[in-house]
Parts: sequence; structure tokens; C-alpha cells
Amino acid sequence: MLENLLLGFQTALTVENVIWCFIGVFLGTVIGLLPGLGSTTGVAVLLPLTFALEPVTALIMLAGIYYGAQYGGTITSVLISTPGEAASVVTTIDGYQMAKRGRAGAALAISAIGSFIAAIISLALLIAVAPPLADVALKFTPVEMFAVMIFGLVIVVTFQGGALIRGALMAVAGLLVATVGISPGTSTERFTFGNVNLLSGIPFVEVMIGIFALGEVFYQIRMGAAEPIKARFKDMVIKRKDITDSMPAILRGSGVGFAFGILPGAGSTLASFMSYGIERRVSKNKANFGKGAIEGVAAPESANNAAANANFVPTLALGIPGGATTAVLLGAFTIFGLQPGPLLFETQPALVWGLLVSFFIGNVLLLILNLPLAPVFAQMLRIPYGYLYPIILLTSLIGAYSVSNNMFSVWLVLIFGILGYLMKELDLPMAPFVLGLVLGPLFEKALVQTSAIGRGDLGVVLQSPIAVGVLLAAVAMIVLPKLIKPGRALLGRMRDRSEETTGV
Amino acid sequence: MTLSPRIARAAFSAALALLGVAAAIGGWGYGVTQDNGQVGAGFLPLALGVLMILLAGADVVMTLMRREPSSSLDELGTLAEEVEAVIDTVEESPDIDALGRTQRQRNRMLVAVVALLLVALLLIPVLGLLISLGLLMVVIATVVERRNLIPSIIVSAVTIGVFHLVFAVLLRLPMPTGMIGLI
Repeated sequence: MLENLLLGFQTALTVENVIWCFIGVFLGTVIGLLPGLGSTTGVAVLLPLTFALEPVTALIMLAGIYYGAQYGGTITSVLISTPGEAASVVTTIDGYQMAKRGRAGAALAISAIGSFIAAIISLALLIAVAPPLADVALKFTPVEMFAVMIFGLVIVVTFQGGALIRGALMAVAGLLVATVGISPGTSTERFTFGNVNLLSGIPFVEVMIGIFALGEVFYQIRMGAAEPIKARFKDMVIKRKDITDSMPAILRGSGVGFAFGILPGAGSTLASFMSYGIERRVSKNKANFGKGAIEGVAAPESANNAAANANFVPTLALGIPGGATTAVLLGAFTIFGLQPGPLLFETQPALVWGLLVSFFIGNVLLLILNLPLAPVFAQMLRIPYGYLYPIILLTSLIGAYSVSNNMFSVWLVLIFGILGYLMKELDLPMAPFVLGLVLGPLFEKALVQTSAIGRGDLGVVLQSPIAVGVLLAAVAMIVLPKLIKPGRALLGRMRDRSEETTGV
Repeated sequence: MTLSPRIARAAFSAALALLGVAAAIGGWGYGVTQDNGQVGAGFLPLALGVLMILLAGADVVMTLMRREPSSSLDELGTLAEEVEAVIDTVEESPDIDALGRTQRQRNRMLVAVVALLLVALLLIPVLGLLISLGLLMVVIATVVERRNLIPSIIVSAVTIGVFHLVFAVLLRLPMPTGMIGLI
């Protein structure tokens, strides 16, 4: 472990990597705070810019955008009640209330401090958990991987926060889009309609840019602009009492964030909502929640940062993305010729450990950037959206073109942009679609291999105890919540009855 | 004519169900199994197509019956209900935005932007990628957003300049320069 960490520091602490890490976290903060741009969009749009870099440097920068955006997303949530990031939606409740009472600075500062503490805790946990998990995963055959992928899809469908059927529908749609191109088992062309551009499948970077960048811009145009609150430097002071009051919330948020983030498919948005809900129940200051409670900012902000790091556990150890942004990062790995998964720890130790250590460096840089400079970043909000979104459109289209030097990519971005807008407008969850799309080729490969192992009998899955255990866990994810609610109601009725009979 | 959100949702799901039918038929055509009994090229598209028909069909029925589909988060208990209520309040779109534009105006803006984008992409073979998108930027800023012409031209020119520098000069990416062949 120590050797690996040293190797990581050697890799991450080169001048070039530190500079690109800084550029990544800086851009991430800016991307996170701009409405209409999130970490997924940022990573997808800026991915083509990293093609000229070394893989480790590129991944350090792209990961920096990811966790930098978690910090930046808070700024707009607090100042204009418009989350720059989905994971910062819940921060708007108490953050914006604090800002309206002249405590925007305290809200931003506690979120930076909470995010930093959560990032360091979750990084330590990530370093402790990911390598042993990768060791276990190395023993997995395609049969077990097939089961794990089903588990990942089930998690993203059950946890995405909307209706179960709609989540499942989107996951199936994503998997179906991924079947376009040459079939992995038989080399048959599928759904290409004679178009050579479709032979290698629908490229998911373009799909991501379309859905998350163009789709979001279209949606924002329809939603309209919000009134910003100006952040003054004198509002930026945070009291020692604020920090001590928030510490339990930060620690709880970190724990909740890591627990949810580690699940393939769960993501940081759910983590932030759950930690806010839990904090609202257990906090001593619960009466102030919704009216500007600092714990209501500290907990979800810690949770989304912890979850962002924890998302790398399934991504690096299993090759299964934890959320939409790690799905794009997973694509970046493959573009750089790397196969994410358990073998990565053995074949590319410098890259994996360099990347993990860069999270630490990046979070230190983010704390330094965000504590004193949050109001400076907030000035970015003065850029009229009327100028900003055409720039986002341009960046997206030119970025898409540069992925494959092909106008086909640009048209794909427009098509998926319109589709992404419709999905947002109709409240269809995007995370299951994205995960389905990214997992599709891996899923089919595992399916084909499982079929080969069973000589055509997919029942071979049921002969592996690990696969059966994972599949049972997937079934439990769907069934248990349905049982818990009636169970709770029944318990409540039984308690009432026993109280009546005992006369309590 | 405007569709109610309920009808729009049902129509979208119905379109997905049709897509499922097409995928299932296509999958059947590619061969569900190979000669040796293992899964064929059409197995997954067929399975996913059938699944899509079932899910999309169920969604159409549930949407049209006005039954709010049960949420998995709801099922986790009141905790999730509270946070879902929060999403509702946060994402609610005001009729008049901070710039005084009504929902109807914003709808028109959206249609205009998508149409302009389409025109800009069609003009790329003539004007080239950067010039075409630069013009798109100026037109969106001045016509759709009603910003002043001079600042709009300056912002667009600077943006295009930066993109040219980064992609064409630094990354040496061959940009489509169109029939006029400038940049």
C-alpha cells in the first residue's frame, strides 16, 4: 500500500500533472457554477482537448473537472438558487435562505470546508476499499461480471429518484442504443442502415455531449433566467461556531456520501438528498432546516463530494461506472486504450495511484481556491446567459467534431441534444440511459461469454454462488422497498393496537 | 396546439414502444441463437425490444390512467418524500423570468435556437465549421437574446478565435472550411 502511495505521489506531483490538475479543478469549479453546465457535460465537452496529453495527465485533469464541479455547483445553488450540478440541488434549500439573510459567505465557506473534509475521508476509504475489491473482482468470470452489471443497472433504476418503470425503460433504451453496430459475438452488422459511421456503434461521448450539454441548454432557455444575489467579500466571514456546529453534519454527510457513492449506479445526487434528509431528522438544529440551517448546507455538500470519490470504487475496481460522469470518464479510459477494471491496478499502477493521489492534491487546491475566491468565482454569474449558452453550444459542437473529425458526430450531438431536452422536459431519468449505454457493450460481451461457458445455456449463471448472491441482492433492491412501507404501516397499526389494549 | 404534459409523456412512451417493436423485429431477423445454440446477434435486441414494449406500454397505460407511477424513492419512506418535494419547488419554472420574459416567449426562443442551429449545421459545407457557428452565435445573441450587435460580434469573434487557436493551431485538427475555405 505504502509503495503504491509513493508511486502515486511520484506520478501526480510532477509539474505537468499538478498544472493540469489545477486547470481541471479550476475549470471544474467554473463549469460547476455555471447553470446549464455540469460535471458530466464538462468532462464530455473537454475530453477531446485532452487527446494530446499523456493518459494519466488527461485523466487527472478530467477527474479534477469532476470533483471541482462539486465545489462550483454550490456557488450557484447558494447565490441564485439554481444548482449548477444536480448533486447541489438540495443545497439550494438552506444555502439560498442563508444567502438571503446575508450569510452567503458562511454557506459557501462551510461547503468548501465540508467538501474538503469529505473528500479526504472518502479518499482514504477509496484507497482502502478499491484495491481489495479489485483483487476479489479478478477472480470473477464473465458469469459473475454479467450478474454485477445487472446489479449496477438495477441500482441505477431503483435509486434514480423517479418512477421505477420509467427508470427501467430508460436503462433498456440505453442498452438498446448500445446494440447499434457490429455484434460482439458474431460480427453481424446491426441497425446500421448501411451507414459506415454506425459500424463501430453510436459513440457515447457525442451522446453525452448532446444529452447533457445541448439538452441542458435547451431546457435552460425554456426555464428562463433567475435573479442573482451579489456576494460581497465582507459576507464571506465564517465563524468558528459555524464550523463546530457543522462538524457532525460533515462527518455524517461524508459517511452517507461514501456509502451511496460506492454503489454502482447510485451517484452523488442521491447521496446529497439522503444526507440532507437524514440530517434533517437527527440534527439538534432541525427546526431551522429549510430556513437557512448551516447543517443543511454542510451535510449534502460533504455527501456529494464523498460520493464523487466513492464513485471511483466501482469504476476503477469493477469497470462499472458509479454515475453519469464516471461513465464518461470510463469512456475516456477506453479512448486512451485502457481497460478499466480489476486488472488496471496490476497493469497500470502508476496511472491508478497517480490518479488517486491527484484527488488529494486537487482537493487541497480546491480548498485554497474556494475559501477566499468564491466571491470572485461568483462574478462569473454576471456573464449574461444570452452570451453564455451560445458559447456552450459552440464548445459542444466543435468538441464533438474533434472526437472523430467527422460531421456525423456533430449531427449526432444535435439529435441527442433534442432527445436530452425531451427527456428533461418529460421528467425521464438520464442516469439509467447513460449507464445502459456505457454498460451495453460490456454487458453484451459478458452475455456472449456466459452463453459460451454454458454452451448456450444461460442458466449457468445460477451455478455460480457469487452470481446468485449478486442477483439476489439485485432482486432485494427492487422488492425490499415495496415490503418496507406496508411493513412499517403494519407495525404502526400493531403498536397502536397494543397501546389501546394495555391502556397506555 | 399544445399537448398536455400527460399526453406528451404518453406519446413519448408510445414512440418508445414502437421502437421496441422495431428492435424486436430487427433482432429476430439477425438471429436469436447461433447454430451451436449460443446467443446470436439478435438475442439482446430482441430481449430488449420486448422489454421495452412491456415497460413503455405499462408507462402509457399508467400515464393515461392518471395514476402517478409509484416512486422507488417514495417507497424508501417519508424521508425521500420530503426531498422529492424539494425537487418540485426547486425545479418549478416561473412564468416570468428575471429578464421579464414570459413562458410563451421562452418557448419561441427555444424553437428559434433549435432552428438556427439546424441552419448553421446545414451551412457548414458552404461557410466552414467555425464561421458558420460564429454567425450562429451572433444571430442568437442579437436576434433571439436581443443583445447589442457590437458586443455580440466581439464576443463571437473572440470565442471563434480561441477555438481556432486551440483546435486548428494547437491541436492541429483539420476543421471543415467549407466552399469559401477561410478557417
